[in-house]
Amino acid sequence: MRFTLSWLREYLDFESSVDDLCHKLTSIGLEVENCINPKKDLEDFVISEIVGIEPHPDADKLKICNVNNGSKLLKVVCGASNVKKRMKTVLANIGCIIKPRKQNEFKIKKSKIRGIESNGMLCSEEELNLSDDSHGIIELDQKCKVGEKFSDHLSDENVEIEIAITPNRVDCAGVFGIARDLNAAGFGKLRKKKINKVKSIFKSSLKLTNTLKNETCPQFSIRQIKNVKNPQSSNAIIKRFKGSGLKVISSLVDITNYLTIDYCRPLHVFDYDKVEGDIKIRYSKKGEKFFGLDDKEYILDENMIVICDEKKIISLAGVIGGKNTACDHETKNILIESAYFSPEKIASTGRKLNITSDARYRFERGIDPKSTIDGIELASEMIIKNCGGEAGHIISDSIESEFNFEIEVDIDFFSQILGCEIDKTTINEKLLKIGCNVMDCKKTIKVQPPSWRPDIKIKEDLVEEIGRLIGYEKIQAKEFKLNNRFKAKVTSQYQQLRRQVRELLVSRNIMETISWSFSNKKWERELNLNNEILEITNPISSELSCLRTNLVGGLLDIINKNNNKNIQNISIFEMGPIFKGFKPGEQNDQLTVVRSGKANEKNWTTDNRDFDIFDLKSDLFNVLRLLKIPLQKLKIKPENKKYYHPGKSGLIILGEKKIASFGELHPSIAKIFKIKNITCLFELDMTTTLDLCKEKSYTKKQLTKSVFQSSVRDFSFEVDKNLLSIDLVNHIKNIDKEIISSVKVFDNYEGKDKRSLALEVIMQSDTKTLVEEDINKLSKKIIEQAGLKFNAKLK
Amino acid sequence: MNHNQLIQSALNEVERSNSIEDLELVRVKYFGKNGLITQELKTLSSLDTDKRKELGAKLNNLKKNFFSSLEDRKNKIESSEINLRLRKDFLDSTLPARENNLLEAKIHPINQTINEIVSILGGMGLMYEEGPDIEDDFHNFSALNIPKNHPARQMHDTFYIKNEEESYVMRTHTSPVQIRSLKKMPLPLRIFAPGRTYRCDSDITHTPMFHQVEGLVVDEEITFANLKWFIDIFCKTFFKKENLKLRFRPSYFPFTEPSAEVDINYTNESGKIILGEGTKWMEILGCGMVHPEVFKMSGIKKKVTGFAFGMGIERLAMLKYGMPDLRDFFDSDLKWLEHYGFSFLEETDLSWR
Repeated sequence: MRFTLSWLREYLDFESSVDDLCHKLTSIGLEVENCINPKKDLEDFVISEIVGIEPHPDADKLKICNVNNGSKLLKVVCGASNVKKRMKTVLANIGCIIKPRKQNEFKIKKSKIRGIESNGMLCSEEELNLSDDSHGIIELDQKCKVGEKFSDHLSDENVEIEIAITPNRVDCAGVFGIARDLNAAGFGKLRKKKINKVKSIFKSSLKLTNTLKNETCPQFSIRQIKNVKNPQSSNAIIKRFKGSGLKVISSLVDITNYLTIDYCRPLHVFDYDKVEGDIKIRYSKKGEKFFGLDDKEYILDENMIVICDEKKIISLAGVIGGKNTACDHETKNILIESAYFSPEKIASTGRKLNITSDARYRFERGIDPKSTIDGIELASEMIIKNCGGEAGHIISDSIESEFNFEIEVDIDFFSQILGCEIDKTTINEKLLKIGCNVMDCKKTIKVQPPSWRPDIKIKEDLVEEIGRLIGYEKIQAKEFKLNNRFKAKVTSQYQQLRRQVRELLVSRNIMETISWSFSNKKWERELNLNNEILEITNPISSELSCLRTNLVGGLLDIINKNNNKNIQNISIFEMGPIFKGFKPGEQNDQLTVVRSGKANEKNWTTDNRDFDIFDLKSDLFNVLRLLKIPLQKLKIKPENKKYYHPGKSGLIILGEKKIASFGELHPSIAKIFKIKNITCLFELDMTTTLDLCKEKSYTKKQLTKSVFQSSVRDFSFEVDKNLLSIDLVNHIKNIDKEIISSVKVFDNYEGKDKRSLALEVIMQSDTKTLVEEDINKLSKKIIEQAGLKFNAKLK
Repeated sequence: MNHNQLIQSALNEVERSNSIEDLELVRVKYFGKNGLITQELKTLSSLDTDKRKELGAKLNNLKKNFFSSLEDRKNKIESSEINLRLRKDFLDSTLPARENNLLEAKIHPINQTINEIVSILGGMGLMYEEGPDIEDDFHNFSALNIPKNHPARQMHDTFYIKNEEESYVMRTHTSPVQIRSLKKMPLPLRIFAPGRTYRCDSDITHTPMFHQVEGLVVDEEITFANLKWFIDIFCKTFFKKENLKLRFRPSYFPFTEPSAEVDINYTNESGKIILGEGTKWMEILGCGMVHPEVFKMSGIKKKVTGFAFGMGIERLAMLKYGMPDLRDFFDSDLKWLEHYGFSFLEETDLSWR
């Protein structure tokens, strides 16, 4: 909320500086977001007169002004269209700092503009941060004296303060309320708002029916005023509105807007001559149409509060008025409306129709329900003063407002929550100052909050009031005992392993990335393995319209974006959530590593091969080893998800569960993501895998070593092209589990129709040293079995 | 040849040898199986005792001298061979090291910051908790005292999930973890919960996804004064500034009462923000005493009090490490990640091990 200093001064007497005021506002919870104090910033700017104008020889739009600044005549180049001789305006001398509202600040220097020397700058309101107005330079009254400081001509109406109001503090959505709160906190002296009763001259024949008074519109009042004029508002109002960021419309409308900001009392005026018959307040029916003051047509839902005459809806209660009964400069007879609506109702209406207005803002936060009649009187007085006319009597169809509840609270409760001693006198005094009724019951107090503080409902709210008004800075920080029981286990094994996996991958020179949890329909169509696409109802853009079901899309997109920046050889990973359903908890942590391009940057020592699936398999197995997954228990199947190369990928199965997959990216997916380099990846379901991890035990198993010598034999077999090496290896291992301790493929040669595989077999016994005869016997068996089972021929 | 001549010629030949191979030939010539001196030694047994003694001593002495000068010669030849090789060998040591990567991989600054937070809050006795990214209305709003149509909901631009059943949302804050922890864990409770959060907002200072960390301390006599102490320690430790000033100012969150926002002091020196100096204030986190409604909605019947706080992780990282633009965190420019990321060896702590 934005207001000028002089507006605040109408209700608060104080001598303190603007800085002190801002500090106090922030410390009581009305955070100052912006404070523009041109009186302080514009001390060096001088009132000057343009005594002569010459055209610029090199530019049609520029003029050379002879400017009298009170002490000498200066030549100043100016591009404003409104310069004229004898005009009084504001000059920024050499050395002045300009702080425009919309641009960065700069210092005035002596300079040449298209070859002509300029000794200063003539300024617009925008350039002096006085308003958004940048059309032309400031034109001052002829009475202003040349040579005087411009800042002396500025008033408190030029000091703008903008505060952020938290949703609970609707009472401060009015300048008077802010003054009231400052006063309660001991800042300045409050001047009470005077509310005069305006005498009614005639009795209006209008009838009012409020069908919702027992539901969502307990208070509704109107007053007719006839024979008004509706000119432009006075200069004083216009100046105040400018400084407070309000739009000037016409006297009648400006007055209601004024009271909205001044007294937090939203009102509405209808042009009575456009109202047909009597007034009724009712709920809307589904599909009813309404044309708002914002020139937009709205199709209403059922059960929105509407104000109607006998023919039409004339206002969407508490949100926006209707175009059909709007006041204009021809308006002669009006109705003023003042009411109290249910905050929830206004909020839901505003939200459904997506209308924001100053009225909605206040009604949905809950204005003072006892301000209905006051609002009418205040508006009547201002209207009659500014627009003339005669007031009719106030017509109401309301129920008595219920606002008489009590909070009983232990005196000790305040110090129990705040953690500092607060005496009863202070509590009583502060609560009285914010308008509460306080009844002293020795150990407790009974408190009735004022009608304008709907946010004070429970005793904790009272504690906040006390804390806020004495100042949070006055509450001394106090150490408390941290129970050691909690120190035992800060992080779970799962969390620790997740961190270790990250570090392992980075140590293997794979960059960690974080990408959106979102995906889009295009990616999901290609990469989603379920049939269900998880869509966001209100996505921020079509690129982020779904939830991701794997990390592949995001990572491939990163590869593509970095390829475009000419980084070709890329290793990246992400560990993060993927979604399996739309319910809470239907998500898994997934790890995906992608390597794309060459395994090595161009260099003089090693070859320039592409990344292949065995790089990724190695990354994957290192992760699994870190997770203490028994590698020998893994099953590897040469099949995979649809976005892998069908011939160059593998699936990793532990027990019954598919925990990981690795392989080369399917060429058609690479094409979709515009990736030209060979790209390989692996995906590991962290949640499932870590569930299979056993709790880490700190004592290690005893190391067992055979004392007998081991023997190594190499075998080279010629096999079928599509034989899986792992089948051969596993088979050989099982020939004699006691003695064969390891079987390793150490060479693979792809021939035309056949392949040759070279295996290294290590034999070792726990009970004796193997002799030549044992070894030969076993070797013979290996060759025999490989031939029988796999048609493998020894080479 | 008499013995003396034999001795002399043997030693001469050693001296004249110019390679290890020549030396070996000399050794074989005199001391091989059928070497000249070996032969002589073989004849010793046929001599009488006195002569045998005399000649034996002489020949043994010769053997000693021979092998000692052989060894000397061998060392000489070897070192001259090394010198020769050194004169010939050359490798351009200014060639690049055997390093295959253009970029150095790093831990993402978000995770580094989370790790630091885990270390500090863990050290202060809080446990690391987590919650789901998709939440139901109860945990994200109602249980946190944010009923439907409450203006506070407007502060959260919520993403909704499309489905026929009741509405699910992308969590707008990490606060739902407060509810989940209160429901499942025994009292007293001390937890923190970092994680992804989502709001339907995108501009210079907002991304549709970002990270928060939530903290919750519940016990029998926790006060606002305790909250002030706790936040003070956290901020000073995190920013590594002993002199950091904190300002608590009243604010509003539906799930805390009283509520506060915390500012830290800074100064702006030619565009560079220096924390802990100067008189300007910048907002860093929100906190407050847990609202009784939150306890009620979480099924807590015991009389307890507690405090909660929440802060943006990107903001903490930007202030501590100086990244200028929020949007870069999720843009995954590899040069940015390398520059602003962290070595995997950086900052470890007992809370983690």
